[in-house]
Amino acid sequence: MIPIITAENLVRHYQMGDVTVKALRGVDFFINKGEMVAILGPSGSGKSTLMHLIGCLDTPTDGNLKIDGEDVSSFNEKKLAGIRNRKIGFIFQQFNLLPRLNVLENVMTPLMYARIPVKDRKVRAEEAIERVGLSDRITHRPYELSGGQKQRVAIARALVTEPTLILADEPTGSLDSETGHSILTLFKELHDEGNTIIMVTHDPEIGSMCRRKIHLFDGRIVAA
Amino acid sequence: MILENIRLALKDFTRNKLRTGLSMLGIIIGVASVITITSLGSSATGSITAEITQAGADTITVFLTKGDTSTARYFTPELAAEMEEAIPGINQAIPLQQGSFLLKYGREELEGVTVFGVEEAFSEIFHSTLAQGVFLTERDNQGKKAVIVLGSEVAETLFPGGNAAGKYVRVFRRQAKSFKVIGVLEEQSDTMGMSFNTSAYIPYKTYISRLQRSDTVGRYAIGAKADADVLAVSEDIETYLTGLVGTSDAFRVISPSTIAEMAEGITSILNLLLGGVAAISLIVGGIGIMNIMLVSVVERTKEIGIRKALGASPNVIRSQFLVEAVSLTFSGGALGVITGLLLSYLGTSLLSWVFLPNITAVFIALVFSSFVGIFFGLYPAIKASKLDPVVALTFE
Repeated sequence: MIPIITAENLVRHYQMGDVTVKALRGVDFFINKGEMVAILGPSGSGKSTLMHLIGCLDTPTDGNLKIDGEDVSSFNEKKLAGIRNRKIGFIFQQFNLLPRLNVLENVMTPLMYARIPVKDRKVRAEEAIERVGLSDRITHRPYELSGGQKQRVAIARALVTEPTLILADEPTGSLDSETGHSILTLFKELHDEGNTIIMVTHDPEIGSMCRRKIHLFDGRIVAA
Repeated sequence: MILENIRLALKDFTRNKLRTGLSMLGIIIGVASVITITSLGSSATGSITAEITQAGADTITVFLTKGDTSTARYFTPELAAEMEEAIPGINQAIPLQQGSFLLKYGREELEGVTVFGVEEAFSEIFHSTLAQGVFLTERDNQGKKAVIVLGSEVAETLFPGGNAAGKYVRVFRRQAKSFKVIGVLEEQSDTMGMSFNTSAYIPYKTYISRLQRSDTVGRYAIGAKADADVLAVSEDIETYLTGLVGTSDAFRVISPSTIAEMAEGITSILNLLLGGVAAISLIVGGIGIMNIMLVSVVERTKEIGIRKALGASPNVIRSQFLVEAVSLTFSGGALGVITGLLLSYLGTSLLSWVFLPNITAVFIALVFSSFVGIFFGLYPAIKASKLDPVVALTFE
C-alpha cells in the first residue's frame, strides 16, 4: 500500500476576534492509493476544515500533512497552487463552474494553469468530457445544463489533469436523489478504474458506498 | 495564457457593453481631444507651409501701423528703392497702395474689389502669372496710364464670356474712371492678407494721381533674393527702418516665414498645454478604471476562488486582472484615437486644410493609455491575487 495522504496531529485554529475557534484539534490518519474514503460528521465537526487542508486551500496551524510524499504544511501560496493543480481534482456541492466559459473551456482551464500546449489541452479535455458522457454538450455554457450535467462537467474538469486524488465536497448535495445516484455510480466507476477518491459528506448513502469511513466530531476523529 | 486572458477580457467587455463603455469614457474623451487638437495643429502648420511654398516664402511685407502721423512722412514711394539699395538680401522692393472700389463692365458689376496701385515688379515678387494679356510695365507707371490687370474672379464676374483683354472697365469711388484691361491673372491662393483673385491692379502713379491722392505708402512688398535667408532679411529691414524712423512701433515686417515660425510656436505651446490636459484626463480616466476593476474583483471573488482551486497561482490571477485593465485602457485609447482622427479629419475638411494626422501623438496616446492600465490596474490585480482561496470559494 502506498500512502497518498499522511496526516499527523493535524491542528487548525481560527482567530475570530477574541475567540479562538478550534476547528481541528489533532487529527491523524492516512489514505492509500486507490482508496475511496468518506469523511463523515455533522456540521461544525471540522470536516470542511479538513477538506480545505487536504485540498491545499489552507495550511494547518500545527502538525504535518504529506500529500504524495510532499510535506505541504509549510508551503507558500504559489507552491500550494501547484499542488492543487497537479495532484488534486476538486468537485464541489455547488459545481463551481466558470459561468462565462463553455463546457470545453471549463474543462481546459486547469490544463492552462499546468501550462500544457493549447492543442493537447483540447484533446485531453474532450477525452475527459467523453468519459463523463457529455460530448454532445461541449459548446454549451453552464446555465444551459441541468444540475447533473453540471456536476459531470465538474468531474471531467477534476479528471482532466489526472490528479493523485479526487476530493469531492457533498457532490450530491444540490441534486435530486435520482441524479445524485447516477453521479455516485460514476464515482464508483472512477474508483474501479483506480482513482483515489475522498468524499466529504453527511449523506449516509455515500457513507455506505465507501469501504472506509472517517467520522469526525468536534474536531477529532471518533471512528475510522 | 496572456493571449487567452486578452481574449477572455475582450469577450467580457462585449458582454457588459454599457459598463465597459462608461468606464472607458474618460480615457476615450482624453485621448480623442488630444488627437483632435494635435492633428488640427499639425494640419494648420502644414497648410500654412503649403501656402508659403505656393506663394513663395521669399515675400516680405512691411505694414505701416496706423495712427502715428509723426512718422508717416518717412514712408515715401522712394523708400522702396532706398531699401533695395541698402539691404543686400533684397531683390526687389515696391510700394503698394490699396482701396476698395466698385468695378463695372456693361451690365456686370462687382462691389468691394480691392484695387492695388503697384509697380512692374509686383508680379515677380508675388509669383503671379498671367492667364491673358500682359502685366503693368514701368512705362505704364511713369505715364500714369489708365490700364488695369484683373484678378481671376474679378475677370470671371465682369466678363462671364471670357476675353477681358482690350475691354474698358469703369472703377467707381465718387466718380467713374475708365481703365483698359491689359491682362488677367491666373488663379492664385491668398497670402499675407492679399486676396489675389478678388483684386485688380493698376500702376502706382496712376493710383495716387487718379484714384486716391496720398503722399504716404500703404505698405511695401519686398522680394528677397533666391539665396537669401528670408528671416535674416526681415531683420535687416527692421533694423534699417528703425534706424530711419527712430522707433519700431511705426511698422511691422512680416514674411510667410515669420508667420510659419509663429504658427509653429503656437502649435508647440498648444501641444505642451495639451500634454498636461491629456495627462490629467488620463489620470482621471485611470482612476475610473481602477474603480471599476475593484468592483469587478469583488463581484468575481467566487470566480477567483474557483480559479485558485484549479491551480491558478497568485501571479496568474494578478496577470489576468492586469491584462484585463490594460485591455480596457488600450481599447479606450484606440477608440479615442479613432474618434480623434475622425473629428480632426472633419475639422480639416471643413476648414479646407490638408489633413496631417499627428502620428507621434497617436503612438504616445496608445503607449500612455496602456501604462495607465498597468498603473491603475495593479492595485486591484494584487488585491485579487491575495484573496484567501477558502474565503473566496465560500463567498456568495
